[in-house]
Order: sequence, then structure tokens, then C-alpha cells
Amino acid sequence: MNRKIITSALILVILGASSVTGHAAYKPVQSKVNVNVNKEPIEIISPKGDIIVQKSVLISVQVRQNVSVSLSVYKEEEKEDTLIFGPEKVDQGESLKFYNKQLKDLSAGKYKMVFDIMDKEGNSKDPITKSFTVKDKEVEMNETLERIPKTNVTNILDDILDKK
Amino acid sequence: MKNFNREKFKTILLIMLFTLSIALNQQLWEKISLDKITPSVKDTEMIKMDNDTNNISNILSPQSFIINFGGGLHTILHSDSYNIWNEVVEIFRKSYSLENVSIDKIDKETWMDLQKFRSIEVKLGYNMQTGLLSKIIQQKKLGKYEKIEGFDKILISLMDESSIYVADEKSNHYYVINGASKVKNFEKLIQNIEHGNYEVYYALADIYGIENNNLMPIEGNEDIHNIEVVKEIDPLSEGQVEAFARTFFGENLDFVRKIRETNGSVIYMYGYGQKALKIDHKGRLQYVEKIDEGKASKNIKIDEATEMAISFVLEHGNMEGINGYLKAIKPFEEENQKGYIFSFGYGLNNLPVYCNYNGKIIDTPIEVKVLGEQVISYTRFIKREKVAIKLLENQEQNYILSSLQIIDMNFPMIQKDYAKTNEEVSQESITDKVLESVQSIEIGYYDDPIRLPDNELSLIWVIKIDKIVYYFDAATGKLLWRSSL
Repeated sequence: MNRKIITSALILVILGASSVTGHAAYKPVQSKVNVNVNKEPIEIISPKGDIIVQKSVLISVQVRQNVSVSLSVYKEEEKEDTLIFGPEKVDQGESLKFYNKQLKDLSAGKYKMVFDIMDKEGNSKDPITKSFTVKDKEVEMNETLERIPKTNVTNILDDILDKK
Repeated sequence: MKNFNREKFKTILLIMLFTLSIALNQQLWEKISLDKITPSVKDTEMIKMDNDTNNISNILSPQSFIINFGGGLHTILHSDSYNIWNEVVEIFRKSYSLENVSIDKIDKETWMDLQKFRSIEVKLGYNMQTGLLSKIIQQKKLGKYEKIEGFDKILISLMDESSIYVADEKSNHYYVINGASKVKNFEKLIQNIEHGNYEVYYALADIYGIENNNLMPIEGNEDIHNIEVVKEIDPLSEGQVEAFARTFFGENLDFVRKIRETNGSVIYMYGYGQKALKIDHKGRLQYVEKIDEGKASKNIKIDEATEMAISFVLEHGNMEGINGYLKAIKPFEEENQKGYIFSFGYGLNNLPVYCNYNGKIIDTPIEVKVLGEQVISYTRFIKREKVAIKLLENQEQNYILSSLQIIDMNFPMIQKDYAKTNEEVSQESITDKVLESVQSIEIGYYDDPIRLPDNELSLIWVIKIDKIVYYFDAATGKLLWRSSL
């Protein structure tokens, strides 16, 4: 009887010690997602600025909370905004929780990205929006050139002679 | 009535033949990649060079071209379908003897700033010595180019019409060549590419929000697919094998011993093993020569050795139709003599080809060892694309995962590998550090005769992160192989 009790106790001790050691050695791979209720549910990586001088734009976001996101993009018109993309569910992938989409052939004008967020219970949260403006490359270059102060040759020569 | 029926029959027959010819033409045009036959730059001047120099220049041509459109948008071309290399060579040729050309050093930041604007960056797989450049542009002296030892990148910026930039990235040396010919052709060239169908690349910084300006394609290319290939050398074809053997041993093979092995391999041996050639059952060619002290002891310059290696490759197999290019030059020593190993890669359907060799994945299936003035070994294992016309069948589209999906699926494994060699990195910052250490992302074809049917090349992603190169199956995302840099 005593032998049985001692053997059972020994087995329990060995199992307990193994599980403690195993738990101590376990290092989970750090996911880039930090579940932090104080942070925004998504971080918009691109577009960075508000002005895009290209006919295409890269939209890149990282999902930072355990939420479901869908993206819609509107072109802001005078009367009514026109939906030009989406709504498309943001595919977050498995590990890094990044989503990318390139929108092509955009005409000049103002655009608005709307990220609709839902928590895991299916409750809607405040959407996140970001606007950007697409400008025509040629027009933008000409405007920049016009902003450069005009100088004439006489002024340049005067400067050179003065410096001498 | 009889005449009327005959006429009707002829009309129907004519219509059928006409329809058939349209259908066959349509299949033929679909099979042949359009950018191989359509001139993309209509005003490009064709440069006339003699055949030898032209062949050497083609093999020394860059392995990739980065087109920077400005505004963070880029693309990378893995073949020279827009004739960019010839345009670059022409700039060097025209500006070589100009009196007002000057060469100055610049810093890396200037180079990186120029990449943000419309420009073309030409990437060589090896360091081109200026002696070799003078050979390509047919100049005897180095002139002002003596200031530059060698370079592996060339940058043509539209911000500057009269300068080009070269860099030896490994040694961190960057130069500007002032007074070079105008680059007007490149403006039109970039526009042509921009208006075509190109694969979009963005900097990793724009995708992941980390500090890494290396480029990444964001979508899988819908136009690429697995391809059918044939062995370059069929060991069972006596005629083909003997034709190759004659390039090594001369027209008369009477004094050459021939051994046919049971597995289908063929061995030719000259004398008592002075020269030996083996073509194995897979079509791999291996040639060796016994070291000739007189030839091996000669000191020759690297550009002379390069020319010798390229000439040898062209004489024994050529590079027609496979977009072959020099990929690496490494010094080596054997029996106290110094030499160079020249490694060549090749591409099919505008993508580089990787192959499984002795259990490893390599991208240089052609290798020449030059010791002094002697070629002492030559290996070659090439597949050629099978051109077949399938009547009224659509091209089979392969679904491939994007590089972003590949990295996402395999990130825990990649991060683990990174942590092993970077123990000092904290858990909080390790993800960013891994993404910052992504050096290159490329798609290519994979030739694995062990796993796949012999006649098919599948698609793989080749991703270099930190000190490891990963090879992933593009369809499944599964890791095929990894090797240390």
C-alpha cells in the first residue's frame, strides 16, 4: 500500500516538475499585433501624405486589434461621393496582419478611404477615414516651375560681378 | 446546278481554311511572348557592333533593371526586352573620348535620393572592371575611367541630362560621370514602360512602415505560368551528343574513347584523361582538363580571363534563346596557381531559372574555371523552352501567392531563424528588424528533375533575408530550400 502511495506521489511530482520546466522554456513567437485597447484598431502605413502625384496609390494598413475591417474608397464630387472601390474585406493574413491594395488609373481629384471596423462580437465601431488628393503629374510640375522666382541674366551677372 | 454546288463547296472550304489560319495564328501569338518581338522603343537607334563584341556584351549585360517612375512607384525587369543595355553602352561609347567628361565621387545618400525620381537603375550580377567596359565599347585605353576600379550598378536619372552614375555597392563607392551624352531616349523609354503592362513594386518602407528601401512586388503576376521545357542535350541522341563532343575534341573523334554507361550517361576521354567530357542521363555536361603547367602559370588580368570564359561558353553550347548572363566572378587557387570561377545564369520567359544541383538550389548552372590561360573545367545544365502550338486551347493560368502572402505565411519560421543569429535583438523589435533585413524578393523558375517531371519548370519565390536565402513554392508557399549567404 505504502509503495503504491509513494509511486503515485513520485509520478505526480515528476509530471508537475516537467510541466513547470516546459512552461518556463516556452517562448511564443512575438506577433507584431499588440492587443492594446488604447491604440487605434488599424494603422495606416500608406498613403503617408495627403498629395499623390501618380495615377495609382498604394493603400497599406496594419490591423492592430482583434477586429474585422472592410475598406471602401470614394471619390469626393461636388454633389455626392462616388464609390470607386469596395467595400472589400481587409485580408489580414496570418502573422503580420498587413493588408495592401493598389488602386490604379485614378483621375485627379479628392478621395476618401473609409475603414469600417467591427469587433469580434459583430458590433460596429467608429470608422476610420483618411483623405488624399490625386494631382496630375504634368500640372503639378508646371505649377512648381511657376512658383520658382524668375531671374534675368542681368541680375545673375550683377551678382557675379559684386562677388568678385 | 452542278457548277453552283461546286462553287458553294469552294466558298465553304475557303471560309474554313481562313478561320483555321486565324485560330492557328492566335495560338502562335499567345505562345510567343510579345515583348520579345515588338519593338518597345520606336526611336531607339540600333547599335551596330561586330559579332564577337556583341555576344560578349550580351552575356555581360545586366541581370535586372529597376525602373523608378517617381512617387514611390517602381518596377523591375528581369530581361532586357526594352534594349536598355545597348542604350547604356552607347552612352559610354559616345562620352568615352569627350574632353569635358569628368568623374567625381558622390555619397550613397545622393544615389538614394536620385532613386526617388524618374530613373533607370541597371544592376549587374558581378563587378565590371573598367578594362572590360573598354573592351565592350571598343576602346583601347581606359582614359578618365581609370578613376573607377569597377562597378556593379549604373543609374540613369532623368533629373540630370548630362550625367550618369555608377556604383560599386559592395565596396560602398559611388561616382558621377559628368558630361555624358544626353539621356533623352530614356525619357521615352520610361514612358513606354509606364504605359505598358508592368509588375508594380513598392519599397518595403511603404508597405510595412519600416526602414527598408528595397523593393517588393505587391501582387502575383497573372501573366506568368509554369512552362514546358526540353533538355538542351538529350544523352540518348547520338547526333546531338557527338555534335557537342566535337566542339571539345575537334571534328575527328577517332582518337577519343567513348564510354556509354548503363544509366544512359556518355563519357568521352582524350588521351590518358588529359581531357574528359561527361554528359549524364539528365543532360548535365561536365568537362575537365588536366592542368597544363605552362598555360596555368600565366598571369592574366581578370578582364582577359572573363573574355576567355565567355568565348568558351559561346563555343561550347552558346546562349541563343536562353538570355544567359554573367552572374559572379570569384577568385580561386589550385596547385599554387591563381584563377577565377565564372558563374553564369540564364532566364526563360523573362524570368531567371534556378535548378536543383546535388541537393542545393543554385542560379548559376553554367560555370567555367579559368586557371592562368587555361580553362580547366566547365559545367552546364540548361533547359530550353518547348514551343508548342495548342489549337484553340487557352494558356493554363497558374495561381501564385504574392510575396506578401509568402512572407506572412512563413514569418514565424523566418523570425526564428533571424533570432538564432541575432540574439541581442529584443522581442518587441524583432518583427521590425526582420522586415528591415529583407534584401531582395524575386520570382523565378525552378528546375528540379527529382521532384517534378523533367519537362516542366514551376514558379518559386526567392527571398533574401539577413544572411539566409529562402526558396518558396509560389503556388503553395511551402519552403523548398534555404541556404546561407
